[in-house]
Amino acid sequence: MENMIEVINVEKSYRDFSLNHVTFALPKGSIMGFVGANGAGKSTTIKLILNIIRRDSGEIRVFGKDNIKREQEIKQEIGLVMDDCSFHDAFHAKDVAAILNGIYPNFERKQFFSYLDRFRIPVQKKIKDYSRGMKMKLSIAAALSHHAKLLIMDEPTSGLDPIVRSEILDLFMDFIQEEEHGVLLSSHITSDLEKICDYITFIDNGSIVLSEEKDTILDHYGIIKGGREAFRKVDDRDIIGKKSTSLNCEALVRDRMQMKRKYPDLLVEPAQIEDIMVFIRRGQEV
Amino acid sequence: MKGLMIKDFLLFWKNAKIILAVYVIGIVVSFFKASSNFLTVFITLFSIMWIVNLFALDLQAKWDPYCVGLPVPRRKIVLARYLFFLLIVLAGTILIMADGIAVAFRYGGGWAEASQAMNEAWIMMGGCLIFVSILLPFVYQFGINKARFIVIVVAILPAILVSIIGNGNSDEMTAPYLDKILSSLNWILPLGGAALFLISYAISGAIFQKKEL
Repeated sequence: MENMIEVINVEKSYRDFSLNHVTFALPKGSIMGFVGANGAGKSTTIKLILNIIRRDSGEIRVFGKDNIKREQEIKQEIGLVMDDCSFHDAFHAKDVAAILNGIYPNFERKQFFSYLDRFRIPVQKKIKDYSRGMKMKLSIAAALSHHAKLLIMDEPTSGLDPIVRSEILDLFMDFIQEEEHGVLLSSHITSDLEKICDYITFIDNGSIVLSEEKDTILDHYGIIKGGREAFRKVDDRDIIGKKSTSLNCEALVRDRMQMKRKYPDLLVEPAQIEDIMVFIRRGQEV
Repeated sequence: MKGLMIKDFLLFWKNAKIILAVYVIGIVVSFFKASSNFLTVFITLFSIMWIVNLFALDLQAKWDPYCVGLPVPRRKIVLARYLFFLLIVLAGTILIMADGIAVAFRYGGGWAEASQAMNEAWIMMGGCLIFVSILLPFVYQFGINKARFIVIVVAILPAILVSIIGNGNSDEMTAPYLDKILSSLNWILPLGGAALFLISYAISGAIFQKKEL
């Protein structure tokens, strides 16, 4: 399958944080959820893909092209949404259209205003009077109005109420109907990602912990539960992350069917994305 | 790049009512006082203040990381800002010239005074270009918050220079040379300003090219 984004062994070091050999790929026609705790490296990775910051080593390809050598050509086909609305408070929606029209040769003013209409954005108001949800919808409308093939979004749904989030997620689902399209969506709202993503990439402390198809993750990963005594016979090598109280223990395992056979006395349940995120984080802390 | 210049122009236009009101006051004052000095000082200060303000507004909106994510090369992002400043200064220069010529003819000064007013406008333009040429590389390197202090330093330096020149003027040996320099300011400042402006753009472009946002 052709990839829209390939991040290969990318490294980036700061004084107090580093990305270590980050590798993942977003196949064409799919939505990838980029998950991780605050400060895990999601925004840094997105900025590296967009060449907003420079990588120390590794390779990044977007649409099969090097993201530095073919930067401008690539960016023509990317719709970008940052975690905050980046348009000035004094602007109206028509000002945003005028600016983007001067930047993207393919910008469609009509399409932009039809998205605003669909989102019920009050175009006569200044951006400073918009709610956070409205600002985010304006940013998404801007990203969708120049025939982008790839949407890259950094926390587009954070701080939004469930109704607005649901509207935005529906829009991404519409966008992805075109098989030439792709979406990379960073978030720590795992329920959103479970609804719409085809792939999940989990980053923790600057390293990719897993990057797989969502269905594979949900089909295979599991949580085993039991009393402390029963848990003593669980091999540490089977456990990815663990949490325990004075009476009970719970642990994340990679192959829940195998664990069911291996530890018939323990309860084995399917793991959700959020469980995986929490247990992996805990596993690292232990 | 066109979009970025439109953005800067729109930001200017949104704040233009107050600015235009002061311009009108400046023009009225110049007619009452038979001098364009007030308008010249105001336009000079405003042009410099506005370019600083644009950086502050961009910072507030978190515009720069988004802008670098758009399909515009970094050097063109810098070029758009320099060109916009040049347009503001040119518009201010034309306004001062027009006002100076009108005042000169209104009070019977004729072409002699009109040409002096035009010289003053050129000097203003050159001074603005030099000031901003020194300032902008610092803004690109350190960000607008830290560079605000540079604004003060860059503003104080010419005052110190003028004071030194003023003291030196009493020296009989240097006085003829200083007089010559002062009378040549109407072409030294614009030409020097234009040269420095180009150098400044090259430096700012190189800084922004490597900048991580």
